[in-house]
Amino acid sequence: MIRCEHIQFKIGKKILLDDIDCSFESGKLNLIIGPNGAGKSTLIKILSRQLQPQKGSVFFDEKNLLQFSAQELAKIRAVLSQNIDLAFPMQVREVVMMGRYPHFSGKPQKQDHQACSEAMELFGVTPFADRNYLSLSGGEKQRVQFARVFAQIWYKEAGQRYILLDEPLTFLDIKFQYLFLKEIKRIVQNENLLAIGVLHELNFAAQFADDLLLLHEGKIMAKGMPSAVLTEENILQTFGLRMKCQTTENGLILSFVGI
Amino acid sequence: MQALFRNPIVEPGLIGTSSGAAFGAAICFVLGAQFQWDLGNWILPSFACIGAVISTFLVLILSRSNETGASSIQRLLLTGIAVNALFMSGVGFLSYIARDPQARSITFWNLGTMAGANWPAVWVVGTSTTICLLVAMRYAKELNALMMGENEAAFLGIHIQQLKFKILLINVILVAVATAYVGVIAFIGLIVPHLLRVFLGSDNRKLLLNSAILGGIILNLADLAARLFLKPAELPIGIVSAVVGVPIFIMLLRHKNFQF
Repeated sequence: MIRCEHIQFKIGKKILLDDIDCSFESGKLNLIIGPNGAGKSTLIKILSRQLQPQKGSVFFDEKNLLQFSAQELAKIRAVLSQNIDLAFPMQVREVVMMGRYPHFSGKPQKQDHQACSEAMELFGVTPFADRNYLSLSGGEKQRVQFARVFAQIWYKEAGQRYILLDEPLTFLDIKFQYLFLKEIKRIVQNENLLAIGVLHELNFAAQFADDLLLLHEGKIMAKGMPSAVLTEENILQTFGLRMKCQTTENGLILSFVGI
Repeated sequence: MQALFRNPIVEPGLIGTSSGAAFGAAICFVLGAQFQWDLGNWILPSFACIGAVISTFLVLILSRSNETGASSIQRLLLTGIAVNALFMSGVGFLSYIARDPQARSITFWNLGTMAGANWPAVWVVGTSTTICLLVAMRYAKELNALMMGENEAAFLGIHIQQLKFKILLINVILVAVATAYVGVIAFIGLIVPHLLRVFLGSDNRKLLLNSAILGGIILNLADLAARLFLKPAELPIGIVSAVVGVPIFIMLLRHKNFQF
């Protein structure tokens, strides 16, 4: 479980997050949604320790996030951001191997190679494993990055493993968005990972999230099952947008009405 | 350095190291003439070394900020260019006020020369290079991860600030000591890693050692050419390395395997 206790974060006098107090469970796909400027990115940056909150703390299963060493954290927690590019050309296989860097010094061991090839297989990277990363399309690059971050936390023996997804689907077309979310959800359930992600697309959030956190102006607006969070009033209040929320046999579907 | 700054145009000249060394050497030539010093084996290298360290740290201190990522690197490179200009104008001033033989020494040294090579110098440069290279190779993995950006590298458990400091320190020692003995030799530091990337890829675990080896080979070939071309006179090696290096580099840029 990841627990946020009364987190406050401000830059100067501007409060970006105020009294965020909530928890996220493992084995579920936890997604954070909200309009631009609601504090989604700030929250994920605090969870990934890029930013320190002025007040409050984050606990990864009873251990304060600040008490982990960088090395220790890197072995159990992976972070996937959007649109990662390399400064120099590099083979895809080597990029995936970077995910294993925290686990070996010197040369990669057998289990490092194995984690990489299994992760590459899982995300369909194997066919272009020998190609130059920079020559890949946006969708292929993101598949490589998925393989890299999952290779980083591949083995169950590490204990509870965490994955943070910072808008990982931006720049992907709708088919890839769908395939990735489905795949992530399946892995998270099978491997009992603790996954927290930021997502923009409300319909994807409605259909795939097990637990939704709706942020509005730095505060928690609602949290819980998608059907309880994505209500017509909540959407109007946070996004200023009228949407119709219908539960169909395909799950919750949102459609535009107007502003 | 190219890996650390995630930038293909970086070479030791760019963060002030070479120009500082040149300035130190120029001061040494002028003062030496003034006070009739015997320039021997140690005084010139020491001056150059001190100059290199001062200018590099000047660049680092002036460019320090709380930002991370691309902007901090741009700031560092721009500061480097500014400090370089300052030190090179210092060199220019010194050769302007210097009397003719010293001015010629300064020019000659700025173009690089292996004329002063002798065994003690080989030992000093060899030792510092070997040690620095061995230390640097321990950080090859971290440098690889840094190619994805500072945040991504940090997620892999790397202390970015510490890494930057260590790499720059190794680099200053490496460049300052070598420059101190042979002067400023253009282009080798820039083109050798790029040449190797075409053949070996960008894995720093392969690049570091091979850059050192190939750099040494090319330098010796350039030296050979410099000594043979105007025999028995000796051309400054910096001229040869630039004349040969520039066409190679441009061919490389147009090569189909070469991309950023």
